[in-house]
Amino acid sequence: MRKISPLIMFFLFLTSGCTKKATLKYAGLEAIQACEENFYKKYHMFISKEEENEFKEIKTPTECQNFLNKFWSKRDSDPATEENEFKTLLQQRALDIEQEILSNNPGSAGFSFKNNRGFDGDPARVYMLHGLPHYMETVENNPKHVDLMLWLYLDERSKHKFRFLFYHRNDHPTYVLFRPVFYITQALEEINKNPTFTHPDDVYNELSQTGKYLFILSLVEFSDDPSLNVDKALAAPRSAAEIAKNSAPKTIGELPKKEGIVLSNRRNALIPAEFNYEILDNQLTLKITVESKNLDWTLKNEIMESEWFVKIIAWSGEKKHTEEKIIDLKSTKETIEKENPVFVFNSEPVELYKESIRISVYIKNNNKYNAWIEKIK
Amino acid sequence: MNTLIIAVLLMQAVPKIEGWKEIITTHYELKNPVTFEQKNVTISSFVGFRKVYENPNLNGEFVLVVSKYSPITFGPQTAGIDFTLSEMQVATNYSQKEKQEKLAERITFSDTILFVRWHEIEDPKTKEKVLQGSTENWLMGPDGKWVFESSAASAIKVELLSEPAVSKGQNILTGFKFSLGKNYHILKFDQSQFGGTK
Repeated sequence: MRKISPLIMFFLFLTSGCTKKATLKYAGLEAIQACEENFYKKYHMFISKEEENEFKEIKTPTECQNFLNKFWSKRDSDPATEENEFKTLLQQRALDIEQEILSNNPGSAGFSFKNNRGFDGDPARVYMLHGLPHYMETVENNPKHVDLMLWLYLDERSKHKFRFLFYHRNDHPTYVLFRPVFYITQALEEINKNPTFTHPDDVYNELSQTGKYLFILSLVEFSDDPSLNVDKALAAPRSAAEIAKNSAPKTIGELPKKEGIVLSNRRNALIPAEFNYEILDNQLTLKITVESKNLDWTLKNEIMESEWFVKIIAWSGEKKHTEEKIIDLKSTKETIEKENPVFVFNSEPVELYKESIRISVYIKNNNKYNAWIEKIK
Repeated sequence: MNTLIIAVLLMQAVPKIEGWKEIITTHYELKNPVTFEQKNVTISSFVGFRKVYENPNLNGEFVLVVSKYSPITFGPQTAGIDFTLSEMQVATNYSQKEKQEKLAERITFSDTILFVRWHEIEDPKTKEKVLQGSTENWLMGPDGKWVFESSAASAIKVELLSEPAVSKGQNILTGFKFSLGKNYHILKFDQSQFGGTK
């Protein structure tokens, strides 16, 4: 067997460090192609920590597809439409990057994502997260400071939401994101092209004399909104599913239960019932009559049970009478089916203070209901 | 004589609308102002829906169908204070979808309480739609029995119901009352369904 020379071994060791480490730990080539090359490379900035952990475990193309389906579905900004608008938006942004859309833009003429670490670079990350800036400006080949590129994003009130300043750190020809600092001198030193011969004040004067105030501002302040900073602007946005979960309106009012209902009226929302009243000695009594077969019944220990809620409000002049009762009914299946007994609810007597009285009656059983509103003279 | 009785009974039977073209569906919604997280917001309660159908075999014949379902109230959207405008839009999209799904579910658990059938034709002179013949009205009473009335125009009266709020002194809208002569049917929510359970 031929021995591998130590020189080749050393070379292999060196080059192995240069290759980008695969994110997928156990995946085959096909899954790597589908998940890592076509997806992760472009959209990694949107993946949450939990998703990242899940992603690393993908082994097969099917697992990859399942992950992708879930990933995009969670981010669909409008679930009522067939299109996944968020996916379309991000795919368009990725295409813009691949087609070098900024190279012909007046504020970034000649800029190439490819020459700035492609999808791994800072400009691509910002572009993927926030899209085309509202304003762009580049200052290149200045003897005092390194090349600078500014991307400005406005909010709905046209205030500066984000000021992303990219610069050639140490004059290296790749744009990286500048993080604003508190002391402007420190910032000026960072963008100084030749610190040995150029004073930070000269860098400031150069920018100021050429009217690059926005660049000066971007060195120390990232946004007009003090609550925003670079880290927040670069964080993966909340998924639509997460937003929906945190903002879902509370709903009140359940449908009639079907589970456990042994006998039921054939209506979906109505309890057929009769309402009547009688007046004796200036006192009003309200009567509600319900047939057993018009209620929903559950079976407990071979006994049929039904809960019937009654609410009565009566207004007689300024006086208000309110009565609420929960009536527990018990019977047998045979009695209900064969005899259909009638249940009558009589209200407490209501004193009549005026010639007329307004009444509101509401009954409920298993979320089915009935109601009456009457003016009795 | 027997034939006449059968004819009267058939006329009074509620219309069969299987195979008819559904033109429009509208839910009966009640909007009420409430204070939520120190903000004044409006919340919506739904108590039923109406559908209009057109007879595919007789041009200009329509039926209005009103149905009731167990009421449902949608509370205000609880958008976080740190939500951006686009996140607010996403939240609205999702809550709208949930609302539509829940209302669609209610439609499948409903009872029809009203039919109105009419026939309209085009006036050759004015080219405007005019009623032809009488309008037929069917209303289900609270006892579950149908009441029928034929009239020159729709005899159904719809009233909005309100009552004093339990929590505050002001009135809130609670339902609709559909009347046909002295008979009526109420679609409403109970105030316990406005923030509590009963």
